[in-house]
Amino acid sequence: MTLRPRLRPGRFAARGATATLIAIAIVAIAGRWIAPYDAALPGDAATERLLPPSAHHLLGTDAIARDVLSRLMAGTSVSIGTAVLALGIVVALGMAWGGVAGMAGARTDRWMMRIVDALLATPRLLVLLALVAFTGRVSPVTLAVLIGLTSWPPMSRIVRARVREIAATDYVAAARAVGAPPARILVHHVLPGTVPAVLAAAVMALAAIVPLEAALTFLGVGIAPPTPSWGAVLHDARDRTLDAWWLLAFPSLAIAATVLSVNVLGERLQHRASGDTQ
Amino acid sequence: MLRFLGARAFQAVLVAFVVTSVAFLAIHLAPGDPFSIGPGDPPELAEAREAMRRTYGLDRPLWIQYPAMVGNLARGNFGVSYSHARPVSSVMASVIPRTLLLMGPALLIGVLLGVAIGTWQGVRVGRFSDRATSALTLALVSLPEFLLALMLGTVFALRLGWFPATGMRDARAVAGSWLGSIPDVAWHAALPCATLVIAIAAAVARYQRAAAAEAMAEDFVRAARARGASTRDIVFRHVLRRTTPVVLTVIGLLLPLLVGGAALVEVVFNWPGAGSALLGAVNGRDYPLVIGLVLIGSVAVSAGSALADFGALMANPAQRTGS
Repeated sequence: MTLRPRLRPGRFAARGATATLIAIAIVAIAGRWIAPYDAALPGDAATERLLPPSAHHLLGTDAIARDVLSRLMAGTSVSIGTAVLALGIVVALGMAWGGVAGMAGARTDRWMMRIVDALLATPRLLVLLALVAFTGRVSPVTLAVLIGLTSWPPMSRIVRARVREIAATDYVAAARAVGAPPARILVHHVLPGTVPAVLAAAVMALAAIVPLEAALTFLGVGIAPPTPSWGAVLHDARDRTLDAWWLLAFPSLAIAATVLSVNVLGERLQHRASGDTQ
Repeated sequence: MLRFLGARAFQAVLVAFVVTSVAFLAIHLAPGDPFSIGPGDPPELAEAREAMRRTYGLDRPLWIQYPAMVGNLARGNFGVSYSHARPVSSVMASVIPRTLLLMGPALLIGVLLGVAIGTWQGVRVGRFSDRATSALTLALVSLPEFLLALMLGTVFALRLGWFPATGMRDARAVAGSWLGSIPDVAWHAALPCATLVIAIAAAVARYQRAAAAEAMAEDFVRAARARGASTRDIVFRHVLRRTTPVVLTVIGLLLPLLVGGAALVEVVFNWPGAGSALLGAVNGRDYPLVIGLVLIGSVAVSAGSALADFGALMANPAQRTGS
């Protein structure tokens, strides 16, 4: 019995998700240049504070008269950049740990997986809060490193399972027979075969990582101001969600749309990686 | 059985050790300490700062501080909270029950609701009603708890005014009996609890739907149908029995995520539980309280996951007789 929800999203949903992610990627790369205003520059404090969405400010302005659309666009590169960097660390650590455990003997493997199980049972947000508490407000890169360091265990389990399967195949036995060292077998013959599963798992990991940045920055312990990010706009929305609903609604929409698209695509990829064909 | 318990107890100890060591390292690698406000520290207070550091043992070398901390924690001594100026254990004794007050009912209602929705969907997999509600649960799963909390708070507390927006008790309430405050507390707990219930129910429903749909395709369901059993009978007698281990395993996997989500929900609604206390301790650099809360949270999650997995093992007849 599998523990994965088996809703295979339809083609229509998958296309919508792909389009959404492409749009977000474009904004993440070019957001600073295509934004209508300077994200950091406050407007006229007397007349442009907390304006609701209008033709001039499509998504309104915040408490110090900055354009919310511009801040969200500039913030996209910070939020998505942080998430992608964290994801890179997750993939690297997950493949290294899972690869070694999968190739190692039964005893080493058991110990390595026990450690992973222990880390999986640790509430990640609490540990991150503790880490951020002690490092103080952080740069996007530091936050990405912290998130990456605490998010790799699920990835390592998936890699290990695939490595065990591949290590039992004939071509790996052949490589062993000609005397290839284990490290070489792992890198050249085994790890490439894990890529589809890693890809599917990476997409799912992204769905968990994007909200983490937003949550920590929202709490005021994540990325330090004035760097714009989705979480930073939400932080500005705190305590004024009633009189300035646009400060809450639009960053929430960005986060939810990203996570939803990633979930839809991730499930499709997982079906493909596990060999289901429609 | 003993093996299982032993492995899980070992795992909990490992979690506790890793968490405290990481926290300790982070504390001492980071610049500054709780009695300093940074480069602009007034020099005339230097002596007072030194005295505080001596009081809390922060002036001793790390290779003395670390074993001392581990030894104290192992004996259940969490030290003294800097910001509350009382033992960490007494702070935790007042905040953790308030968190359980939210999480307990939320977990119970959320799981039951999730199983109900998931089973209902699983029985009619592929039909319009299933597709529509599955899209809804996917959307809800994709919405982080703290955003859901902010939205529910804005709509139902601030705009409609049906529920209080923050806190646990009405400030105007006369300090009365413990029993008399129950309706007031429940009133305040409604929105944070509802947030968690929605998050839990959506996640559980998605797994339950898959498991129920899988069970409905099994031979024993066809056999029951051939005997003339109604769908209702089949669901209650056969399908739910088959899916229980899945639900329990899912709860075990969800717990670590849930504890983090609940902490954020507490902060959004200003619920004075462990999550709010943790954020306060983080902002105030109250090391002993941060370590105590993270440690207790991690060990509780380990124990909860173990309990859920144990339940899953017991609920699965194949595993029970097989091993």
